Amino acid sequence: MGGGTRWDTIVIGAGPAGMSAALELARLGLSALVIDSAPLPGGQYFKQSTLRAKPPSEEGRSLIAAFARAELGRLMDTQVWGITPEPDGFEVAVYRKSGGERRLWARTLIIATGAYDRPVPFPGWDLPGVMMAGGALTMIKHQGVLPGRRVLLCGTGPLQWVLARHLLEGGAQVVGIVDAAPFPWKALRRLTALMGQGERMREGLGAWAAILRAGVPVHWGKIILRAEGADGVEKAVIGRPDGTSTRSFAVDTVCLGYGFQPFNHLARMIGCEHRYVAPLGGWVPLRDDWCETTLSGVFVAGDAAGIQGKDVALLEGRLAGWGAARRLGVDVADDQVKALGAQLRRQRVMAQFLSYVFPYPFDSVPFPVEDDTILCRCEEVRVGDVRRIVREGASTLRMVRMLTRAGMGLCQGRTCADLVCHLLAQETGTPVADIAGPRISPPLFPIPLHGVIGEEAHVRSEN
Amino acid sequence: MGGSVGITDTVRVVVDGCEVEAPAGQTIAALLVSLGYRSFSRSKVSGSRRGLFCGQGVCFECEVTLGDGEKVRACVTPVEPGMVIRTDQAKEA
Repeated sequence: MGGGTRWDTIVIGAGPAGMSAALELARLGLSALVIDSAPLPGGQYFKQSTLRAKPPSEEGRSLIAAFARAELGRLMDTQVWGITPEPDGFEVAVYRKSGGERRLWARTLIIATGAYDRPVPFPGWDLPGVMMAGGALTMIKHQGVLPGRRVLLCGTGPLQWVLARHLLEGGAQVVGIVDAAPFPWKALRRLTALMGQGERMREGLGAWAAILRAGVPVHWGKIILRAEGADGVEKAVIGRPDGTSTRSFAVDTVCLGYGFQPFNHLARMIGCEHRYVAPLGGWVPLRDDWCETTLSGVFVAGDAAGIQGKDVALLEGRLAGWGAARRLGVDVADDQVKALGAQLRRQRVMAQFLSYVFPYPFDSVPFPVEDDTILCRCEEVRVGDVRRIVREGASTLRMVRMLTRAGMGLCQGRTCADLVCHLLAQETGTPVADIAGPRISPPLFPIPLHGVIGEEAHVRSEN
Repeated sequence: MGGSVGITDTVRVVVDGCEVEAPAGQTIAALLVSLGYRSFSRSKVSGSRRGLFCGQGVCFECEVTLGDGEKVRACVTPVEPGMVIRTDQAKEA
């Protein structure tokens, strides 16, 4: 509370969706504050490295430049860890290492917090050297450091090709690309859907050409079955999902690229209704045509509302900006909204195409059958531990959590909650959409006690 | 908005007792990987080694301890001049 600024809108996340939302708000003369946990705006897609002068793409540069010029509040290096709905707006709790205001306030919220890599467990996935493709890409692209020397890429979809290209250019040996999807013959039949998507096709095909030139073998319809090693991964075994046709590779790094899951935990924390939609990457908020959630005044835009990529995020950000403006009593022309809606539909075609060719992994990857496989990495809860308590009658995520500690570690279930739900669904014969997702409570991330102290005694830490 | 820094700028930091130079703005994780570290921390349950996993601030498996005792995620924390960094690898040395 206190006498701080009362913003019209607080935008959480300075990626493609958040920046484009904020630009619309500024253009309409509203007071908007954009908060991001990173030191520089850009998000994952237009990430600006703190290390190198090397900027993102032309598109990213001009968006970031417009964002820097616009009349907006900008708060970087700031972690939003809680939101409290109030009768006329929202109180937003933030933590900054450098101190400053701990509570902010706005009449409307736009949540544009993007997405994070989807983990798929297998025996040995906890070994050092097994890492997510997104993290590996950041390491090489933005930090100029090779994550490994002999690398196997396992997952599905074109991000793997892009990562392979960067690894090759950085001088690593890419021993293979393992894709859970079969060779995309069926994609050819859908090519007509890609009219007007030339730019993104070129990016993917360029990476593909680099892989062919380097002679990197691609293993279609295979998955990683296990990783082995003493103090880190030394060997990776791949094969068909049923465990046949195995082959092993000597590697020091395995990158997992099974796509992304929406990071919309703040929207879930404050009670926006969500539904499990597998092709969109998991739990996604229910929204109207303006990207407004079931909670009036709360908007979710971009990958946080379902994995659809940068172009959809840019458009949804604008729409959410207009939606917030409308809530604040500003007129937005109908024909403007119609035109944007038409663009949005075109861009969603690409996202649908990709999820058709490279389906959501649990369609093609069987859930780990080995009881010994770790499910919750923080608490080292294994598949068998969850199976046992399900046999004993546990049927909800909450019960699994209480009885096994799955999801109670430092990652607060961000890595395993979706996995536990899939296992529960499988073991109880329930569709995963019918398994209630985790209850998200503040703090969103573990924060030092001095970031909370003296004010929020009622906020229970997850740890 | 802070601008990017030139790649030639370096800072001196201490990693597990050894003084090293790092490019200014580099993340602790990138520095550790370039120094040859594969694992950063230990599982709180079994003590098994853990390395860089998500690389995006989600999983907290790359946590390292700074000189003042604060634990930070190596993957999202840039080095600062004079920073003292301790990984869990140091404990057995």
